[in-house]
Amino acid sequence: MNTREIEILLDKYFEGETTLEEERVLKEFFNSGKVPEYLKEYAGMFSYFGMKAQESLNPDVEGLIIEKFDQGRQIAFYQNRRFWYYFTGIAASVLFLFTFLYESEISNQIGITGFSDTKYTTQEKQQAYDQTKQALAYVSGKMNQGFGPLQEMNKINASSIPLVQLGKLEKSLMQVNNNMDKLDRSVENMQKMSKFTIIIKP
Amino acid sequence: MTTEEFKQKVLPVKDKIYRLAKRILNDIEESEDVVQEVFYRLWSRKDDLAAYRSIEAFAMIVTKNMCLDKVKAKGYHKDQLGEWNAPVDNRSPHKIAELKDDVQSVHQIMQQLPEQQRMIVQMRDVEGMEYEEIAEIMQMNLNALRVSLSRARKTIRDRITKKQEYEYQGN
Repeated sequence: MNTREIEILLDKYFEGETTLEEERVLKEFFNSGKVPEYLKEYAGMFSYFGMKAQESLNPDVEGLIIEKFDQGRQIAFYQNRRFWYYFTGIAASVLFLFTFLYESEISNQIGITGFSDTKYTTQEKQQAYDQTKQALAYVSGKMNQGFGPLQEMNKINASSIPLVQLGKLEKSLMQVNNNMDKLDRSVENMQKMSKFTIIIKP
Repeated sequence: MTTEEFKQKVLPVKDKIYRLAKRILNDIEESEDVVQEVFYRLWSRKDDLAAYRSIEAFAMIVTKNMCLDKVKAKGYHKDQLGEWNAPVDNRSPHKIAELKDDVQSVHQIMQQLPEQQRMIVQMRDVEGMEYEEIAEIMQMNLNALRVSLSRARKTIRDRITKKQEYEYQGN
């Protein structure tokens, strides 16, 4: 492209009438390094534009932004968990109500089978009682087994007994302290006495 | 819009909005803050974004408004309409000659332009965006946009010439 054409394009450019393609031609020309002296003053503009197009956001800041998106995702999960809280809460209360319904007299009226006194024979009741007792005994046995290792805790109690001896040490220390106080007092008295002797001497 | 879609479709505009913010605010840290804020705002509206014809144009509008609010709050655009003052320069004439067509002087001239013109030059001459896109973002008609762009380009040209004359006299 000759300089005459460039001049025409420049005029259009400064009137704001160039197309993107024409502006690309201008940018290429001024960044080519073969710019005649009398057009040099425009080169700064076009290299400035080229340089500014290279700037990019600090990757650390981009990292912060992405982190925030991922936090957003976690919040969605949290909301999901809250949904499960509600769900289990409602399910529990429904079950709770159902047990009442199951046991009550109404249950018989609407035909749901339940624990009614007239329905079972004494033998059946005894059987149920025995089975329940067995099950509870099993559970308590397992629990005692689990408590077994806790017996070790007693050793700690046993080993802490000798620590009582420390109390005796404290007592004797107190006695030593008392005696030291007495000693201090007598030293003080002796000093007073010595002052007297100094006064008396001359 | 899911997180992945957001990362694919919206995140790539980050450099463009960073450059626009930097051109308006002329401060790296502040521009980085704006970019973050813009993305949080876009993120909070991620379900509506699909409705926009151009997410990029929307992101640019949000950026532009946020930056202009910051400028207004700070009130530091006071000297932009004032006369171009060539900076006092104590460097050797040799150095000045070297820096004659340095981009630095264009940068200084750019910062003296009114924000609106600066944004238009940024989008057209730096980003190479279509007139229609810029007009949509700037909420101007095409004619007014061309006039504004022409005025900005001429101002840059005239101030470069003036600066060079000043430096020449300085020699």
